[in-house]
Amino acid sequence: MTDVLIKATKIKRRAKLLLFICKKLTKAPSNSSAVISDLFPIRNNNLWKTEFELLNVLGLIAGENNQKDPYWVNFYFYDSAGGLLGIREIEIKNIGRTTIKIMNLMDHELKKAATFAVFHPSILGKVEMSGSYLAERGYSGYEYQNLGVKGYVHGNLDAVALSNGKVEPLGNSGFIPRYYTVQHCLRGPAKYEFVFTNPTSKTIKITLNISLNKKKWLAKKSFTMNSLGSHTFTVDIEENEKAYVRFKSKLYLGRPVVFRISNDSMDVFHG
Amino acid sequence: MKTPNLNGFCDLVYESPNNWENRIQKPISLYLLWSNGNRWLSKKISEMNYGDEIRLVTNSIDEKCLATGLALIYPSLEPIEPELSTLPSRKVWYSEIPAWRNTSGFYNEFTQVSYQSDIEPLPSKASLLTFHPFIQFGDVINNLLVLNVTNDPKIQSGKISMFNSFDKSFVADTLISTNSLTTIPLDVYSFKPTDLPVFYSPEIAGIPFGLGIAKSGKMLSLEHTHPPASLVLHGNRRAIQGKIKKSWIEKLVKT
Repeated sequence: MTDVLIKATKIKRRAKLLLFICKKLTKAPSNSSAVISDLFPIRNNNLWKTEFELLNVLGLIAGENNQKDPYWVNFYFYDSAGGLLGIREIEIKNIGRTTIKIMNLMDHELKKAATFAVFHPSILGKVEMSGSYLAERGYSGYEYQNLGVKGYVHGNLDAVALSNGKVEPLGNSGFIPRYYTVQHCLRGPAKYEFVFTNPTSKTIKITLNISLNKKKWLAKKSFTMNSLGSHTFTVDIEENEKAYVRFKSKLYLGRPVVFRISNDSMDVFHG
Repeated sequence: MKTPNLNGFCDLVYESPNNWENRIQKPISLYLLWSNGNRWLSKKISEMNYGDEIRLVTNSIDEKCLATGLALIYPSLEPIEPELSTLPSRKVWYSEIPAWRNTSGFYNEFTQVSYQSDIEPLPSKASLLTFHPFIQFGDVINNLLVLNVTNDPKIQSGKISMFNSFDKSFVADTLISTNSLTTIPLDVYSFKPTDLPVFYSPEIAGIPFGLGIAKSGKMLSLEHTHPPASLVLHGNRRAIQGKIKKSWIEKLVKT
């Protein structure tokens, strides 16, 4: 009887998996020389600074972080509608780690940049990669109100590939909308800012549901994000108040980066 | 988790992260599990119904349960024996896309820092190689935290070595322990902003975190470092991770 139950449970799970996740979470790039990057949110105003810890990823894979040859990395900047604003080429100096102040790159056409991707040189032919692709997964550091210490977070989704000079969204989405419940109880007094990026090639609609007692979900505002676009959703929680949020969308993994701002300090983490 | 000068918290929410996997809604008991070096000890600390949330903090937990810096919280559908030879294997709160997690972290009188936590037991014998790119400078205290949990309750210590990844120079050896949260102060090693330290433990695996504490106390920073497999995506990542580790270990250990 137990065996029958286990088998039935497995069949049910496989059926649900086919229904909700019929493809891989992310696509492999279409070209073997491609490199992958996450889309990293930018927070840049009089309250916030964004930095990026740029490493010699190719060297770390190859087992050598002493980079004698010139090594150039391309930062691609996007606005919140997913439009490519511009590219900045940065040379990785022959040191262990380079902290890039994103604000210093955001001049001219990049002033309205909301996200960026970081593409390293192709590794094809340099290291045997067993079908894998070099990937830049972060870290971004965010400083709030000149507190002198950054909150770090790694990239959220394996979002985009640079393949033969073209940027290719890698995220998959399904046919049936599904919920992603943020695995965190919101506690006040605090302002929560949920930052979403759209790693798919489609426009994605996301609807916020919020609950103060977990038994009754209230559908609130919806928003749409273009391919490679981004959106920040803000929720204010009063003192002694708790709340839960979930997001309905067709994204396979509708996981936001969460900024919690409270008592003149902040906390950044994956939701 | 407990680390010097900060309190730890764990926020649990009884709600699966998606609406199609593991729609469990049965009442559960929360057990605290900790190792005394020979056995896993357990104590029921609370109950939760579907939809409940609870915050557990280290100041409300007996110090002896946190002697290793770490106690585990396990949601169980049935009573658990007070002493166990191995960790419970049944996954009650479990999903894969996304993984069912909760929020752990640290707090002080000013602020808090969160990490989306859950942990599967690690192999009793495994190695760790990781690069630490977020040591901070200025009025900040930098620590490396190494979290290890194994099914075996033994608390064993092993060496973790620090090197400078650029010239592969040896920096220092220190110890980490199984079934513990080990706090390693990093500021004594005078790393520079252009340094990328690499940490290698030949016998004990773990999840490494960079913890930054503003000397004013007004900002905390916590993030895990990546394993080498995170430098690549798709294909045979395990094979690549093996190659990366082998390549670095050969050079570091010979140096």
